[in-house]
Amino acid sequence: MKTTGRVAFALVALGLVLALSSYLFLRGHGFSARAEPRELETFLARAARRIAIPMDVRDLNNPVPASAEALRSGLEHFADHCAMCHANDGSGNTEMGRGLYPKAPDMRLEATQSLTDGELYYIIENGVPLTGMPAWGTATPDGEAASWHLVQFIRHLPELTEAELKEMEAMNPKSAEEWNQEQEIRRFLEGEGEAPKPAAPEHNHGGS
Amino acid sequence: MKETLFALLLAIAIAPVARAHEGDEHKVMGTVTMAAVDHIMVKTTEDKEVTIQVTKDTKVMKGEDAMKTEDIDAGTRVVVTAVTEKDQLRAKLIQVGADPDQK
Repeated sequence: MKTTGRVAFALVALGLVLALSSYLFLRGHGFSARAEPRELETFLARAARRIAIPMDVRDLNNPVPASAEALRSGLEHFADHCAMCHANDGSGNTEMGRGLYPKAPDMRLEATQSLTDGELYYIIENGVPLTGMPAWGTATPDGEAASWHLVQFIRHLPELTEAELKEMEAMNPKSAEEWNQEQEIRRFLEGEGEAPKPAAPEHNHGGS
Repeated sequence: MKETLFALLLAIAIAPVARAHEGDEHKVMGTVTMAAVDHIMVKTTEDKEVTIQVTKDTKVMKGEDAMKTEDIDAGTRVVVTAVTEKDQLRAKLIQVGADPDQK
């Protein structure tokens, strides 16, 4: 009984110390989604994600046979739904991707490419809690096929060509404002409207 | 007096919001006044002179063709997509319009 009492006291004391240090840490640091997660946090989060994905899904291979059509479907879907955060090239280098906590990963790298087909599929279908990754699953055969097409496209990211990137840019969703801005830029570059008169002498400098 | 104090407090309150954020993307539209390997100067459609840093990652495109920054003639219309970095603008993409004498 005496030992149980001591253990309980030690646990309560430990809990209080943890609570107090957490409070002091939060008071002193504030928060920003622009921060980088620490290595330990990343390691634990990835381990938890791996454990949480059911074994039978984790071991799945892509059931959709690799084909140009499936890759094309994945490319179009990625440009329309994923590129806003992940960027067309999968680098995560977008305004949204950079501002998330954790930041959208560079999917061309080992950390993503080493995931199994099943893990990628599960993440697309179910999202990842406490990150910016939403669940895209629709529980329909078409939706599942679309997710498998995306898995094939994610595997293709490290070999994405300039021509494919250019094509994807045209497929990215645009707001009315972006659409108008695009038209304005096109008209300006074609010489419509008044351009400001350059003040500097009309010559180029070949070096800095 | 009250109004002045209120305006001052409001200015202090919104100052951090109004500041350009690191990584923010901007479009700079105007004519080139000077183009070099590492920077480009543009007189904007709002009549401001803006200097934008050019790096090896900056893409310079005239329609579908890539070109070099230093080959852009003064007076050429450009649209520069740039990001704020350490209080400077760094060009990601320079879209080059028709030559100035073609208009």
